[in-house]
Amino acid sequence: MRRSSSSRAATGKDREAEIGKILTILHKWGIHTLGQLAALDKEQLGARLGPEAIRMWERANGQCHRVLKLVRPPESFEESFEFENKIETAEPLLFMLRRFLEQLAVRLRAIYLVAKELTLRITFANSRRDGSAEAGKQVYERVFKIPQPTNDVDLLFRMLHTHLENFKSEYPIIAVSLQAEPAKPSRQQFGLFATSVRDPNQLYETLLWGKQASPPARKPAGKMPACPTAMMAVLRYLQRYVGFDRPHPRRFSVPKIHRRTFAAPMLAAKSSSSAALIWLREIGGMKWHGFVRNGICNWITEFWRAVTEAVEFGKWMGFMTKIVISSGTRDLTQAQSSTLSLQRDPSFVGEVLRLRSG
Amino acid sequence: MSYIELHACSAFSFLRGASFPEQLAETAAELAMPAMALVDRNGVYGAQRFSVAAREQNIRPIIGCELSMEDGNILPVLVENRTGYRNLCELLTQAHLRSEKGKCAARWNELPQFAEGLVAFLGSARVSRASFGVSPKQSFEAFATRNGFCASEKVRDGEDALANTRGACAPQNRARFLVDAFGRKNVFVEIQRHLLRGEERTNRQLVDLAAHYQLPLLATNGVQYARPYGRQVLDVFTCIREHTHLDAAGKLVTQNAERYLKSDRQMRELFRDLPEAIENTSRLAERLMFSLENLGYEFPEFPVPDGHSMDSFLRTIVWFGAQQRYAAISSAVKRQLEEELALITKLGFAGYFLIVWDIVNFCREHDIMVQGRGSAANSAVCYCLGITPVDPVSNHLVFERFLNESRKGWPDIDLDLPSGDRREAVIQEIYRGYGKHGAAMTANVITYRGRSAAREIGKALNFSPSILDRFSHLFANGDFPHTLDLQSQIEQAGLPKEHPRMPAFVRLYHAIYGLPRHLGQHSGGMIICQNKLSSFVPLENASMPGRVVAQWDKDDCEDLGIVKVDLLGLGMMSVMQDAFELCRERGRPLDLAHIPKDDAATFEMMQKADTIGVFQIESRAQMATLPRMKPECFYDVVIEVAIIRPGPIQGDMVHPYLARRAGREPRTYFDPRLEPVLGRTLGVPLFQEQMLQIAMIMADFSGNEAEELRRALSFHRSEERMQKVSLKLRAAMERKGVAPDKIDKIIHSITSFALYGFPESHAISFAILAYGSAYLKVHRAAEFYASLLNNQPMGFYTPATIVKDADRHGIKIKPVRVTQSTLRCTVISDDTVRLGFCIVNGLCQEHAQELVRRRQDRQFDSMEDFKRRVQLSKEELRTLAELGALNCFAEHRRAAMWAAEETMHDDLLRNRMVGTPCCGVRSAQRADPTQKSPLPAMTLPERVRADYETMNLTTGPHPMKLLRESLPNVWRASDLAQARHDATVQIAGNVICRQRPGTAKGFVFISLEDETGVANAIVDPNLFERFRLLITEEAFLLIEGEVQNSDRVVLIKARDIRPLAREQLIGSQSHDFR
Repeated sequence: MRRSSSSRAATGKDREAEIGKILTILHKWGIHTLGQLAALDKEQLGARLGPEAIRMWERANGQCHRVLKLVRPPESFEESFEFENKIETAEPLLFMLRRFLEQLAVRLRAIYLVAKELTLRITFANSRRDGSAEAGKQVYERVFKIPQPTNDVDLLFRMLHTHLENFKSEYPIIAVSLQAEPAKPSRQQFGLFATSVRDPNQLYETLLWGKQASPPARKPAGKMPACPTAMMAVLRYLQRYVGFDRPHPRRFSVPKIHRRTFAAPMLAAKSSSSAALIWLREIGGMKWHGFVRNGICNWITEFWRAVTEAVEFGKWMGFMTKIVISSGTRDLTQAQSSTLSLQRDPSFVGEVLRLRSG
Repeated sequence: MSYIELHACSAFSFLRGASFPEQLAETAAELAMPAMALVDRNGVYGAQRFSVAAREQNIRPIIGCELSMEDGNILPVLVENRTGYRNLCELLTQAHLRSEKGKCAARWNELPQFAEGLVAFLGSARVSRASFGVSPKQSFEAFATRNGFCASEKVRDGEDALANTRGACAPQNRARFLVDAFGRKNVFVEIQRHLLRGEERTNRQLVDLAAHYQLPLLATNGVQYARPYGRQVLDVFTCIREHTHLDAAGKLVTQNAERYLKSDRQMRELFRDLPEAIENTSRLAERLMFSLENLGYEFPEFPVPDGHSMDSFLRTIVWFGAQQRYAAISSAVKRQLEEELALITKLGFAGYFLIVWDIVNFCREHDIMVQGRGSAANSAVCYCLGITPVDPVSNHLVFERFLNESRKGWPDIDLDLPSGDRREAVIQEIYRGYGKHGAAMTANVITYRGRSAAREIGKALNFSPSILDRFSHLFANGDFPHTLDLQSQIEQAGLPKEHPRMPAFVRLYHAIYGLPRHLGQHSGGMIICQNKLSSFVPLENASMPGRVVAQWDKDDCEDLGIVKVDLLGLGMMSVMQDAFELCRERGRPLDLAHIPKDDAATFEMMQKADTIGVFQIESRAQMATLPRMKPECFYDVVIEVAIIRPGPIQGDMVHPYLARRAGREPRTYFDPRLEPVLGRTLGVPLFQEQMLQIAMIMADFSGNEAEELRRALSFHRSEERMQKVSLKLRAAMERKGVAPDKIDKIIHSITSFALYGFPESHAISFAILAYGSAYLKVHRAAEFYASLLNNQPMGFYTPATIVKDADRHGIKIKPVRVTQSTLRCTVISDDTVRLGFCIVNGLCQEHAQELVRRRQDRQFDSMEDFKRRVQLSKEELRTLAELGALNCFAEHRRAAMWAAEETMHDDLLRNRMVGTPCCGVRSAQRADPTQKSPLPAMTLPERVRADYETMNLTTGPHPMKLLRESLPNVWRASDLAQARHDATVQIAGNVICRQRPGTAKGFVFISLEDETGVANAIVDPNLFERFRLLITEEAFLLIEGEVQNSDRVVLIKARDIRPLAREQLIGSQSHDFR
């Protein structure tokens, strides 16, 4: 039968206490050396002080050994903060996250580890309508995989920053936590096996993200809109201002990993001047999986969220340099009243292709 | 109409308020507030102090209370009239008595019964968070239902109250319920504004609610501290209450410092949109006219025989007592009794005397020693009633010190009883007589003092427990700030001065010092009442079962005219009663009344300062005075008891008296007229009565005026009052033509010891016990020592020292034996005492009694027989074997320990049966009882160590005796009398006492015990600071210094101090105090 670690720990403590008790009695008996202990009759000793004393006697007589095992307490790389007052914008989070990252980086560095994954958890103050306090609180969780594990605070912070720029929530935030998954740093000889990519993280964020399994947004952060009209609105904007074509009727040959997992996507839009295509695929419910051809971006979330992320991503990449969203994400669900203007940056596509070709 | 704060909590809300009631009153006065309400949590603990302070500041005090309701809500109420106050007290009593100590929960359904005369507050800004998520459109009816309209405890503490308030099992619509219970004019909707996020939403709902029910709005600030700084103290208190620290407290602590006492202008500014809420505070305050001054308290009547009034019955029994007390009633006695009886009748105190007489009779009937102490002994009536043993007429005691016409409160009769069960029996008899709601112990407010304050603040600031432990250990009894400031103290405990939290620690320490922590019970003060005492003061359970305690301390009760009887437990009375019983059992009876008062051997022992264990005159300071004082008669003992007090010491009375007594100084008087008064104390005033008489003779004060003078000086509450009476005294003496230098001397002597000086009557009462115990020590030593050991802990010395003292007096103390000892120490012969099981550490009393019972059935014949018949735990058995109590079954202690550890054959079987394999040893392999133990016998040092570990004493040699050979240069304590003055010597021993008296300017006295007695050393403050850790931590010290030998009192003035570290040394605990 297997025992849990807690019960093992309890047993260990009990045994330690038992040994301490026996030692006290032995001292009171005038037994202060191993020789004196070994000289006692084993069975008489056992009859008085129990099996643990017999084990001690055996060790004193060299009849058994006790192998020492090094036990290290598990390291936890998590920082969290509960806000005194609820916060309603994501900006204050950035200050906290920067501090968290600095702390985590110091702790990881101290034991020669790096972060290979970051998990961001944001807790909202959305108590349920019936008023029960704790039960209704929702937690948004997002995992950031780091292609080349690192402790570079600036780099890690940039990932979080980028994500949070688009972060929207219906409810105020009451707590935030950041957990780092440690890994051993990759070892390589300078120049010999160096990757041809100058900045793998950057490349990941720009190009390789799409080849990863779906970026895990494990829980929706808010209410799902009732109809996909906003999507259409955005597509219209894309066609009108950015120059994408109409949705392409042809089925696209998707990468294997996608084929295994998801249904075929729908070509949502295509740039008239480049091969940059935006593909959308419904993955059940009202969730859409959108990505850009050749793996420029790949995301999964609610479709309205996907659109805003696409826009933000484009902005970040320089693909779109200016976005005006009139009244926040919620208004996107009301397609007719929303306004979204995008300005195309022609240099974007060239840059993407240049990176792609190495 | 100005704003009046009607919701303020003081520190008497215990960890929920951060200011004294006096500070609140003072701040209110500064803000020109005409009235103010104190609303403490679940009680009126601070009401009296607040009332006194507020009246002094010309503020009208209003009394109220925050009631904790059964569902966790808080309902603040204010008292409108006496009925309301009575209702509040009874409601609180009911709520407290059905809960355990420290808890209180009033029920919603009992509110209507007690609502008359009370004004309730409904709602508060503090429920703001509770309304989170509530739509503005939601009706206030639903809001009312949900939130209960009451400030939630948890909300105040920063938690979400929603869960708390929702679960209320109270009526669904509490607003309507409160209106129905209290009446519409007695319910106000309370609104608070603390500049917190979201509170306005609740306030808007409350305003809507008030409009709906047509209830008036009331602005309050929910004050918890007088000034903004109090927030820090409150946060620390919150951490203490919630068992957390500031780093982890998070939302438990307050969000800002807005709960301070705000001015009219500030409140008007805050509530500029609701001016009527401010105006209503004045309107309501005008209605609340109740004052604690008119409580309507009546002292219980004593049932008297038909045809008698209480006065006539008192007169009858007094004269009857007088005939028994006095062989012949002289005219002086007659006059004194008539005067006293007339005054008692006039003041209406006859019932009080009769009740005390009744208590004394109960004690006599139940064979409990009892003796009145204090100023009661100045009364011939008390003497005739058998309350006190001192004849005031023959001792020329001043009756006015006890009772006079101007006295507002009740006379003070304190009864000394044997501590322990006998005293408890008397207390329970009073509860039985007056009912659970008719009598109560007075409270004793436990406040934050040095160690407790530092520990709690340290915890709140998240200091390491090791630092706090070390601090507590090093400064167990506080320390002198002029030799070591707080920062240095904590630095010695292990926290650097530059620690970022050090300034906060120091600031908080000074802020918290003296604030109330919790309510304890007074050691002996009981208050009783004619009707229900719970109508005048709320009562609550004490932690001791069967005890009920009032919410006021003895000063508050005295100020409010509630009569108090002090039933004080004296360990020595218990010792004496036990000793007398032992004497009677052994066929040589003795009692206190028949002890000869002129026993030469007793006085000789006192003159040699051989007084370890003797009442009052056993302390180091007393023992240093006795050889100089050389008491030769009983009155010398009275002076000896009175002279070592802070009063005479501060007033420089000790040395003049001793010098005059030794004939080194002429006997002089301030004035020849004072010779009759000061003659018996050689011209030096030592007693309070003498002070009164000096004022009466030199300043023509009446008895009442003189008593007023004493009270003014002894209270020290008001400098102004003290100055006033001093000036009056000076002016009166000047009028009588007393020389200015004499006036100065007289005033100096009066003011210096008025505070601490004994009344002569009190000193006589104590001297009786001191002399009686000394007589027992000389003539009934075995009985005396046995009783002393049976009543530990008490007195100045540990049992180890008492046993060694007995040894030096030829009393053989025999060790504990399971075949002979009983629970208590017993006298075997005139010079032999057998130790009892009561001194064994860790031996359960029931088990010891069981052991004795089994032995009475049949003596134990072997270890196996003993183990089989007496069910002791392994630990107990081990302890008994270790201390040698089982040596009767084995050749030495370790052999007994070896045998004791063996698991019984029956136990093995039993263990097998329940499936617990015991040791894995075959039962057949049990040791042969005849087989010898393989363990070595204990050496002598090991035996001594084992004795100290198991009993805190040894019947063997003193540990120092074991070291004597290795310390050739060290003087024995008994040899020091032969040491030359100024010679340099070394002394060494077990530290049994470290004392730093307040009167000694930082000097420290250390008593070292060795095998021959006790040697005393004095350490100057500089040396103490150099060796502080050594002195306070080491159990054994070696001190080198100069001999100060005067009047056969030897003191070593320390120059160098070293630890005496030896492996075999283990000693008793030291008695450290200031």
